[in-house]
Amino acid sequence: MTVAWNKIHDSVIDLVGGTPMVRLSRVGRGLPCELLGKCEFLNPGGSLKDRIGVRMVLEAEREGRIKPGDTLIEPTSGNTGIGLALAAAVKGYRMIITLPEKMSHEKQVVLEALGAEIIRTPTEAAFDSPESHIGVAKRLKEVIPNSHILDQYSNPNNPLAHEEGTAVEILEQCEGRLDAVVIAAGTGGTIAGVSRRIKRELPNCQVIGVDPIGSILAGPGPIHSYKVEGIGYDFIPDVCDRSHIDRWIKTNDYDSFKVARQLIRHEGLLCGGSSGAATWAAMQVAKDMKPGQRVVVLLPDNIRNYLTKFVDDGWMRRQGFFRPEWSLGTVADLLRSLKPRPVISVNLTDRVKDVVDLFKTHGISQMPVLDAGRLSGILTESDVLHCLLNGP
Amino acid sequence: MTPETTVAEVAVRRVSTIAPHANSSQLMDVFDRDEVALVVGDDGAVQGLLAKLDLIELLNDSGLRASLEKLRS
Repeated sequence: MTVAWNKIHDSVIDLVGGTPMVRLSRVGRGLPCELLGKCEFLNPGGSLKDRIGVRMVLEAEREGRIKPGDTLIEPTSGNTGIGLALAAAVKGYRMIITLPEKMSHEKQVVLEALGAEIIRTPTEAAFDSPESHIGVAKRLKEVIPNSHILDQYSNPNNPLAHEEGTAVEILEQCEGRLDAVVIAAGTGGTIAGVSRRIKRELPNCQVIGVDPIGSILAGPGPIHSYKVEGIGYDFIPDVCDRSHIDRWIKTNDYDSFKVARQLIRHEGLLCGGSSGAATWAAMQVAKDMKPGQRVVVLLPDNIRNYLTKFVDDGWMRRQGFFRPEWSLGTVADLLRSLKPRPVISVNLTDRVKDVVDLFKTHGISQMPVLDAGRLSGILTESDVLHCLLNGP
Repeated sequence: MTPETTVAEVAVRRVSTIAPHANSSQLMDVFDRDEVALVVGDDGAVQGLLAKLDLIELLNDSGLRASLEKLRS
Protein backbone atom coordinates (compact mmCIF):
# COMPACT_ATOMS: atom_id res chain seq x y z
CA MET A 1 0.00 0.00 0.00
CA THR A 2 1.39 3.38 -0.92
CA VAL A 3 0.06 6.57 0.62
CA ALA A 4 0.00 9.42 -1.87
CA TRP A 5 0.60 12.74 -0.09
CA ASN A 6 -0.64 14.87 -2.98
CA LYS A 7 -4.29 13.82 -3.02
CA ILE A 8 -7.36 13.75 -0.79
CA HIS A 9 -8.09 10.40 0.87
CA ASP A 10 -11.46 8.93 1.77
CA SER A 11 -10.60 7.92 5.34
CA VAL A 12 -7.78 7.08 7.75
CA ILE A 13 -7.83 3.54 6.36
CA ASP A 14 -6.17 4.87 3.21
CA LEU A 15 -3.39 6.44 5.27
CA VAL A 16 -2.00 3.16 6.60
CA GLY A 17 1.40 2.03 5.30
CA GLY A 18 3.74 3.88 2.99
CA THR A 19 6.00 4.74 5.93
CA PRO A 20 9.29 6.58 5.35
CA MET A 21 12.80 5.18 5.77
CA VAL A 22 15.48 7.24 7.50
CA ARG A 23 19.24 6.89 7.94
CA LEU A 24 20.15 6.35 11.62
CA SER A 25 23.46 8.14 11.28
CA ARG A 26 23.81 9.34 14.89
CA VAL A 27 22.90 6.14 16.70
CA GLY A 28 24.78 4.22 14.00
CA ARG A 29 27.94 6.36 14.25
CA GLY A 30 31.05 4.20 14.20
CA LEU A 31 29.35 1.27 12.50
CA PRO A 32 31.06 0.07 9.32
CA CYS A 33 27.83 0.04 7.26
CA GLU A 34 24.66 2.04 6.71
CA LEU A 35 21.87 1.64 9.29
CA LEU A 36 18.38 2.50 8.06
CA GLY A 37 15.18 2.71 10.09
CA LYS A 38 11.74 2.03 8.59
CA CYS A 39 9.45 4.37 10.51
CA GLU A 40 6.45 2.14 11.11
CA PHE A 41 5.65 4.23 14.18
CA LEU A 42 4.45 6.93 11.75
CA ASN A 43 1.40 4.88 10.78
CA PRO A 44 -1.81 6.77 11.68
CA GLY A 45 -2.54 4.61 14.75
CA GLY A 46 1.09 4.76 15.83
CA SER A 47 2.34 1.30 14.87
CA LEU A 48 2.92 -1.24 12.11
CA LYS A 49 -0.10 -3.13 13.47
CA ASP A 50 -2.34 -0.64 11.67
CA ARG A 51 -1.45 -2.57 8.53
CA ILE A 52 -2.84 -5.85 9.81
CA GLY A 53 -5.76 -4.30 11.68
CA VAL A 54 -7.06 -2.64 8.55
CA ARG A 55 -6.29 -5.57 6.26
CA MET A 56 -7.96 -8.14 8.52
CA VAL A 57 -11.16 -6.06 8.64
CA LEU A 58 -11.24 -5.30 4.91
CA GLU A 59 -10.55 -8.90 3.90
CA ALA A 60 -13.14 -10.32 6.32
CA GLU A 61 -15.69 -7.89 4.87
CA ARG A 62 -14.74 -8.80 1.32
CA GLU A 63 -15.16 -12.50 2.13
CA GLY A 64 -18.59 -11.73 3.67
CA ARG A 65 -17.57 -13.02 7.12
CA ILE A 66 -18.34 -9.75 8.92
CA LYS A 67 -20.67 -6.82 8.37
CA PRO A 68 -20.93 -3.37 9.98
CA GLY A 69 -22.78 -3.59 13.28
CA ASP A 70 -21.08 -6.88 14.24
CA THR A 71 -18.78 -7.14 17.23
CA LEU A 72 -15.05 -7.65 16.77
CA ILE A 73 -13.11 -9.13 19.70
CA GLU A 74 -9.33 -9.24 19.70
CA PRO A 75 -6.72 -10.37 22.21
CA THR A 76 -3.79 -8.02 21.77
CA SER A 77 -0.88 -6.32 23.47
CA GLY A 78 -2.54 -3.10 22.34
CA ASN A 79 -1.26 -1.96 18.98
CA THR A 80 -3.26 -4.45 16.90
CA GLY A 81 -6.25 -3.31 18.91
CA ILE A 82 -5.56 0.28 17.94
CA GLY A 83 -5.25 -0.69 14.25
CA LEU A 84 -8.49 -2.69 14.43
CA ALA A 85 -10.25 0.02 16.43
CA LEU A 86 -9.33 2.60 13.77
CA ALA A 87 -10.93 0.44 11.11
CA ALA A 88 -13.88 -0.44 13.37
CA ALA A 89 -14.50 3.23 14.15
CA VAL A 90 -14.60 4.16 10.46
CA LYS A 91 -16.52 1.07 9.35
CA GLY A 92 -19.03 0.92 12.20
CA TYR A 93 -18.15 -2.17 14.25
CA ARG A 94 -18.35 -2.67 18.02
CA MET A 95 -14.80 -3.41 19.23
CA ILE A 96 -13.82 -5.34 22.35
CA ILE A 97 -10.15 -5.66 23.26
CA THR A 98 -8.71 -8.10 25.80
CA LEU A 99 -5.45 -6.62 27.01
CA PRO A 100 -2.86 -8.06 29.46
CA GLU A 101 -2.36 -5.94 32.61
CA LYS A 102 1.30 -5.24 31.74
CA MET A 103 0.36 -3.15 28.73
CA SER A 104 0.54 0.59 29.24
CA HIS A 105 -2.38 2.69 30.42
CA GLU A 106 -1.81 4.95 27.43
CA LYS A 107 -2.81 2.13 25.06
CA GLN A 108 -6.05 1.68 26.99
CA VAL A 109 -6.80 5.41 26.83
CA VAL A 110 -6.29 5.50 23.05
CA LEU A 111 -8.41 2.39 22.55
CA GLU A 112 -11.21 3.82 24.65
CA ALA A 113 -11.02 7.10 22.74
CA LEU A 114 -11.55 5.07 19.57
CA GLY A 115 -14.68 3.61 21.13
CA ALA A 116 -13.28 0.18 22.03
CA GLU A 117 -14.29 -1.64 25.22
CA ILE A 118 -11.34 -2.93 27.23
CA ILE A 119 -11.02 -6.02 29.40
CA ARG A 120 -7.76 -6.34 31.31
CA THR A 121 -6.34 -9.83 31.92
CA PRO A 122 -3.48 -11.07 34.15
CA THR A 123 -0.08 -10.82 32.44
CA GLU A 124 1.10 -14.01 34.15
CA ALA A 125 -1.72 -16.15 32.72
CA ALA A 126 -0.37 -18.73 30.26
CA PHE A 127 -1.65 -18.19 26.71
CA ASP A 128 -3.81 -21.36 26.89
CA SER A 129 -5.39 -20.61 30.27
CA PRO A 130 -9.01 -19.35 30.38
CA GLU A 131 -7.84 -16.19 32.21
CA SER A 132 -5.37 -15.12 29.51
CA HIS A 133 -6.23 -12.38 27.03
CA ILE A 134 -6.67 -15.11 24.41
CA GLY A 135 -8.82 -17.29 26.70
CA VAL A 136 -11.06 -14.39 27.71
CA ALA A 137 -11.55 -13.36 24.06
CA LYS A 138 -12.65 -16.91 23.16
CA ARG A 139 -15.15 -17.01 26.03
CA LEU A 140 -16.61 -13.64 25.02
CA LYS A 141 -17.08 -14.82 21.45
CA GLU A 142 -19.22 -17.70 22.72
CA VAL A 143 -21.66 -15.41 24.51
CA ILE A 144 -21.85 -12.31 22.27
CA PRO A 145 -24.04 -12.72 19.17
CA ASN A 146 -22.54 -11.84 15.77
CA SER A 147 -19.08 -11.56 17.28
CA HIS A 148 -15.85 -12.50 15.58
CA ILE A 149 -12.23 -12.89 16.53
CA LEU A 150 -10.16 -11.89 13.51
CA ASP A 151 -7.23 -13.44 15.39
CA GLN A 152 -3.91 -11.90 14.50
CA TYR A 153 -2.21 -15.10 15.76
CA SER A 154 -3.58 -17.27 12.95
CA ASN A 155 -5.02 -14.87 10.36
CA PRO A 156 -3.02 -15.17 7.10
CA ASN A 157 -3.73 -11.51 6.42
CA ASN A 158 -1.30 -10.67 9.23
CA PRO A 159 1.82 -11.87 7.35
CA LEU A 160 0.26 -10.99 3.99
CA ALA A 161 -0.06 -7.33 5.00
CA HIS A 162 3.72 -7.30 5.38
CA GLU A 163 4.56 -9.56 2.45
CA GLU A 164 2.54 -7.39 0.07
CA GLY A 165 3.04 -4.10 1.89
CA THR A 166 5.96 -3.54 4.25
CA ALA A 167 8.45 -5.76 2.38
CA VAL A 168 7.60 -4.25 -1.01
CA GLU A 169 8.11 -0.77 0.41
CA ILE A 170 11.50 -1.75 1.90
CA LEU A 171 12.67 -3.16 -1.44
CA GLU A 172 11.51 -0.02 -3.27
CA GLN A 173 13.02 2.39 -0.77
CA CYS A 174 16.38 0.58 -0.90
CA GLU A 175 16.12 0.16 -4.68
CA GLY A 176 16.75 -3.52 -4.12
CA ARG A 177 20.06 -2.92 -2.37
CA LEU A 178 20.06 -4.21 1.20
CA ASP A 179 22.07 -6.83 3.04
CA ALA A 180 20.14 -7.45 6.23
CA VAL A 181 16.74 -6.70 7.66
CA VAL A 182 16.18 -6.82 11.41
CA ILE A 183 12.67 -7.31 12.79
CA ALA A 184 11.37 -7.72 16.31
CA ALA A 185 8.80 -10.50 16.51
CA GLY A 186 5.50 -10.34 18.38
CA THR A 187 2.94 -12.55 16.71
CA GLY A 188 5.70 -13.15 14.18
CA GLY A 189 3.42 -12.04 11.35
CA THR A 190 5.64 -9.12 10.38
CA ILE A 191 8.83 -11.14 10.15
CA ALA A 192 7.09 -14.05 8.43
CA GLY A 193 5.62 -11.82 5.72
CA VAL A 194 8.65 -9.59 5.22
CA SER A 195 11.10 -12.52 5.19
CA ARG A 196 9.06 -14.44 2.59
CA ARG A 197 9.11 -11.51 0.18
CA ILE A 198 12.69 -10.42 0.83
CA LYS A 199 14.09 -13.92 0.42
CA ARG A 200 12.17 -14.33 -2.83
CA GLU A 201 13.59 -11.10 -4.25
CA LEU A 202 16.99 -11.06 -2.54
CA PRO A 203 18.00 -14.56 -1.42
CA ASN A 204 21.33 -13.33 -0.02
CA CYS A 205 19.79 -10.71 2.22
CA GLN A 206 19.95 -11.84 5.85
CA VAL A 207 16.75 -11.81 7.88
CA ILE A 208 17.33 -11.47 11.61
CA GLY A 209 14.62 -11.99 14.20
CA VAL A 210 14.68 -10.15 17.50
CA ASP A 211 13.25 -11.86 20.56
CA PRO A 212 13.38 -10.67 24.18
CA ILE A 213 14.94 -12.86 26.87
CA GLY A 214 11.99 -14.57 28.56
CA SER A 215 10.20 -15.32 25.27
CA ILE A 216 10.51 -18.53 23.23
CA LEU A 217 9.99 -17.31 19.66
CA ALA A 218 13.71 -17.72 18.97
CA GLY A 219 13.69 -21.22 20.44
CA PRO A 220 13.06 -23.07 23.72
CA GLY A 221 14.24 -21.37 26.90
CA PRO A 222 13.05 -20.15 30.28
CA ILE A 223 9.79 -18.20 30.09
CA HIS A 224 9.52 -15.12 32.26
CA SER A 225 8.12 -11.61 32.09
CA TYR A 226 9.99 -8.57 30.79
CA LYS A 227 9.19 -4.89 30.45
CA VAL A 228 9.44 -4.22 26.71
CA GLU A 229 5.92 -4.39 25.28
CA GLY A 230 4.58 -5.97 22.11
CA ILE A 231 7.42 -8.38 21.33
CA GLY A 232 7.97 -12.02 22.27
CA TYR A 233 5.53 -14.71 23.39
CA ASP A 234 5.33 -17.82 25.51
CA PHE A 235 4.04 -19.82 22.51
CA ILE A 236 4.65 -19.89 18.76
CA PRO A 237 1.67 -18.31 16.99
CA ASP A 238 0.48 -20.01 13.79
CA VAL A 239 1.44 -16.97 11.70
CA CYS A 240 5.02 -17.08 12.97
CA ASP A 241 6.60 -18.85 10.02
CA ARG A 242 10.26 -18.94 11.00
CA SER A 243 11.51 -20.81 7.93
CA HIS A 244 13.01 -17.77 6.19
CA ILE A 245 14.74 -16.33 9.26
CA ASP A 246 18.51 -16.75 9.15
CA ARG A 247 19.13 -16.14 12.84
CA TRP A 248 17.76 -14.69 16.02
CA ILE A 249 19.19 -12.17 18.47
CA LYS A 250 17.99 -12.13 22.07
CA THR A 251 17.53 -8.74 23.74
CA ASN A 252 17.12 -7.49 27.29
CA ASP A 253 15.05 -4.65 28.75
CA TYR A 254 18.05 -2.51 29.69
CA ASP A 255 19.64 -2.34 26.22
CA SER A 256 16.24 -2.00 24.58
CA PHE A 257 15.17 1.01 26.64
CA LYS A 258 18.62 2.59 26.46
CA VAL A 259 18.70 2.47 22.65
CA ALA A 260 15.04 3.55 22.40
CA ARG A 261 15.95 6.64 24.43
CA GLN A 262 18.95 7.22 22.13
CA LEU A 263 16.68 7.01 19.06
CA ILE A 264 14.47 9.65 20.65
CA ARG A 265 17.27 11.84 21.99
CA HIS A 266 19.72 11.72 19.09
CA GLU A 267 17.62 10.90 16.03
CA GLY A 268 14.45 12.72 17.08
CA LEU A 269 12.47 9.57 16.32
CA LEU A 270 9.60 9.36 18.79
CA CYS A 271 9.47 5.58 19.01
CA GLY A 272 8.73 2.89 21.61
CA GLY A 273 10.78 0.29 23.50
CA SER A 274 10.57 -2.44 20.86
CA SER A 275 12.25 -0.04 18.41
CA GLY A 276 15.12 0.10 20.88
CA ALA A 277 15.30 -3.70 21.06
CA ALA A 278 15.30 -4.03 17.27
CA THR A 279 17.84 -1.25 16.79
CA TRP A 280 20.17 -2.65 19.46
CA ALA A 281 20.05 -6.00 17.62
CA ALA A 282 20.57 -4.25 14.27
CA MET A 283 23.68 -2.57 15.69
CA GLN A 284 25.09 -5.99 16.62
CA VAL A 285 24.40 -7.18 13.05
CA ALA A 286 25.90 -4.01 11.55
CA LYS A 287 29.16 -4.45 13.48
CA ASP A 288 29.94 -7.50 11.33
CA MET A 289 29.07 -5.82 8.04
CA LYS A 290 31.40 -4.23 5.49
CA PRO A 291 31.46 -0.63 4.28
CA GLY A 292 28.85 -0.04 1.61
CA GLN A 293 26.46 -2.62 3.03
CA ARG A 294 23.02 -1.81 4.39
CA VAL A 295 21.05 -2.94 7.40
CA VAL A 296 17.35 -2.07 7.66
CA VAL A 297 15.55 -2.16 11.00
CA LEU A 298 11.81 -1.86 11.53
CA LEU A 299 10.79 0.67 14.19
CA PRO A 300 7.41 -0.77 15.20
CA ASP A 301 5.58 1.72 17.41
CA ASN A 302 5.62 5.23 18.75
CA ILE A 303 6.40 7.01 22.01
CA ARG A 304 2.75 7.80 22.89
CA ASN A 305 2.18 4.44 24.56
CA TYR A 306 5.11 4.83 26.95
CA LEU A 307 5.00 8.39 28.29
CA THR A 308 4.68 7.09 31.85
CA LYS A 309 7.08 4.21 31.24
CA PHE A 310 10.60 4.08 29.78
CA VAL A 311 10.39 7.63 28.46
CA ASP A 312 10.01 8.89 32.04
CA ASP A 313 13.27 9.24 34.04
CA GLY A 314 11.48 8.48 37.31
CA TRP A 315 10.10 5.20 35.95
CA MET A 316 13.53 4.20 34.66
CA ARG A 317 15.07 4.85 38.07
CA ARG A 318 12.31 3.02 39.95
CA GLN A 319 12.79 0.02 37.67
CA GLY A 320 16.53 0.11 38.40
CA PHE A 321 17.57 0.74 34.79
CA PHE A 322 19.82 3.68 35.73
CA ARG A 323 21.70 2.01 38.57
CA PRO A 324 24.40 0.03 36.79
CA GLU A 325 25.97 3.24 35.51
CA TRP A 326 25.27 5.44 38.45
CA SER A 327 25.97 4.03 41.88
CA LEU A 328 26.44 6.95 44.23
CA GLY A 329 25.43 4.84 47.20
CA THR A 330 23.02 5.89 49.93
CA VAL A 331 22.04 9.37 51.00
CA ALA A 332 24.34 8.96 54.02
CA ASP A 333 27.22 8.14 51.65
CA LEU A 334 26.44 11.29 49.71
CA LEU A 335 26.46 13.43 52.85
CA ARG A 336 29.83 11.97 53.84
CA SER A 337 31.21 12.75 50.37
CA LEU A 338 30.41 16.43 50.73
CA LYS A 339 32.54 18.92 52.66
CA PRO A 340 31.58 18.65 56.35
CA ARG A 341 29.15 21.39 57.30
CA PRO A 342 27.01 21.77 60.40
CA VAL A 343 23.25 21.86 60.03
CA ILE A 344 22.17 25.35 61.08
CA SER A 345 18.55 25.25 62.14
CA VAL A 346 16.13 27.70 63.76
CA ASN A 347 13.16 27.29 66.07
CA LEU A 348 9.64 28.47 65.42
CA THR A 349 10.03 30.81 68.40
CA ASP A 350 13.24 32.46 67.12
CA ARG A 351 13.09 36.03 65.91
CA VAL A 352 13.28 36.59 62.17
CA LYS A 353 15.79 39.37 62.81
CA ASP A 354 18.21 36.78 64.30
CA VAL A 355 17.55 34.40 61.42
CA VAL A 356 18.68 37.08 58.95
CA ASP A 357 21.92 37.38 60.94
CA LEU A 358 22.40 33.60 60.69
CA PHE A 359 21.90 33.74 56.89
CA LYS A 360 24.60 36.42 56.72
CA THR A 361 27.05 34.79 59.15
CA HIS A 362 26.98 31.36 57.56
CA GLY A 363 26.47 32.40 53.93
CA ILE A 364 23.44 30.15 53.56
CA SER A 365 20.04 30.76 52.01
CA GLN A 366 17.77 28.26 53.73
CA MET A 367 17.44 26.61 57.12
CA PRO A 368 15.38 23.79 58.61
CA VAL A 369 12.80 25.01 61.12
CA LEU A 370 12.31 22.97 64.29
CA ASP A 371 9.33 22.87 66.61
CA ALA A 372 10.30 21.47 70.01
CA GLY A 373 13.14 19.55 68.37
CA ARG A 374 10.98 18.09 65.57
CA LEU A 375 11.22 19.19 61.96
CA SER A 376 8.52 21.69 61.04
CA GLY A 377 9.61 22.85 57.60
CA ILE A 378 12.15 25.05 55.92
CA LEU A 379 12.70 28.81 55.86
CA THR A 380 14.40 30.42 52.88
CA GLU A 381 15.75 33.90 52.14
CA SER A 382 12.88 34.35 49.71
CA ASP A 383 10.35 33.62 52.45
CA VAL A 384 11.90 36.32 54.68
CA LEU A 385 12.05 38.78 51.82
CA HIS A 386 8.42 38.08 50.99
CA CYS A 387 7.49 38.65 54.64
CA LEU A 388 9.40 41.96 54.73
CA LEU A 389 7.69 43.23 51.60
CA ASN A 390 4.17 41.92 52.14
CA GLY A 391 3.94 41.31 55.89
CA PRO A 392 3.55 37.94 57.60
CA MET B 1 7.23 43.11 60.42
CA THR B 2 8.61 44.18 63.79
CA PRO B 3 11.98 43.29 65.36
CA GLU B 4 10.07 40.78 67.50
CA THR B 5 8.41 38.90 64.61
CA THR B 6 9.08 35.19 65.06
CA VAL B 7 9.77 32.47 62.53
CA ALA B 8 6.35 30.99 63.32
CA GLU B 9 4.75 34.13 61.91
CA VAL B 10 6.52 33.75 58.58
CA ALA B 11 5.14 31.15 56.21
CA VAL B 12 7.30 28.07 56.74
CA ARG B 13 7.51 25.85 53.69
CA ARG B 14 6.86 22.17 53.66
CA VAL B 15 10.11 20.38 52.97
CA SER B 16 10.83 16.97 51.50
CA THR B 17 12.71 14.64 53.78
CA ILE B 18 14.72 11.57 53.00
CA ALA B 19 16.18 8.82 55.19
CA PRO B 20 19.98 8.38 55.37
CA HIS B 21 19.64 4.80 54.13
CA ALA B 22 17.66 5.82 51.00
CA ASN B 23 19.46 5.30 47.72
CA SER B 24 20.39 7.86 45.10
CA SER B 25 17.47 6.97 42.87
CA GLN B 26 15.03 7.76 45.69
CA LEU B 27 16.85 11.05 46.18
CA MET B 28 16.38 11.82 42.48
CA ASP B 29 12.65 11.19 42.92
CA VAL B 30 12.66 13.92 45.61
CA PHE B 31 14.66 16.24 43.33
CA ASP B 32 12.03 15.74 40.62
CA ARG B 33 9.65 17.62 42.97
CA ASP B 34 11.85 19.85 45.16
CA GLU B 35 15.11 21.75 45.09
CA VAL B 36 16.35 20.47 48.46
CA ALA B 37 15.91 17.42 50.66
CA LEU B 38 16.46 17.29 54.41
CA VAL B 39 18.13 14.14 55.62
CA VAL B 40 16.24 13.04 58.73
CA GLY B 41 17.19 9.98 60.81
CA ASP B 42 14.76 7.53 62.38
CA ASP B 43 15.03 9.53 65.62
CA GLY B 44 13.72 12.65 63.86
CA ALA B 45 17.07 14.43 64.06
CA VAL B 46 18.09 16.49 61.04
CA GLN B 47 21.42 15.09 59.84
CA GLY B 48 21.94 17.33 56.84
CA LEU B 49 20.52 19.17 53.90
CA LEU B 50 21.10 18.12 50.31
CA ALA B 51 20.50 20.45 47.38
CA LYS B 52 20.54 19.62 43.67
CA LEU B 53 23.68 21.75 43.43
CA ASP B 54 25.45 19.47 45.95
CA LEU B 55 24.77 16.52 43.72
CA ILE B 56 25.98 18.34 40.63
CA GLU B 57 29.22 19.39 42.39
CA LEU B 58 29.73 15.87 43.68
CA LEU B 59 29.30 14.36 40.24
CA ASN B 60 31.76 16.87 38.79
CA ASP B 61 34.30 16.36 41.58
CA SER B 62 34.26 12.60 41.55
CA GLY B 63 34.56 12.28 37.81
CA LEU B 64 31.13 10.73 37.57
CA ARG B 65 29.97 13.41 35.18
CA ALA B 66 30.83 11.19 32.25
CA SER B 67 28.66 8.46 33.70
CA LEU B 68 25.79 10.88 34.08
CA GLU B 69 26.11 12.05 30.51
CA LYS B 70 26.25 8.47 29.34
CA LEU B 71 23.16 7.79 31.37
CA ARG B 72 21.33 10.76 29.90
CA SER B 73 22.23 9.84 26.35
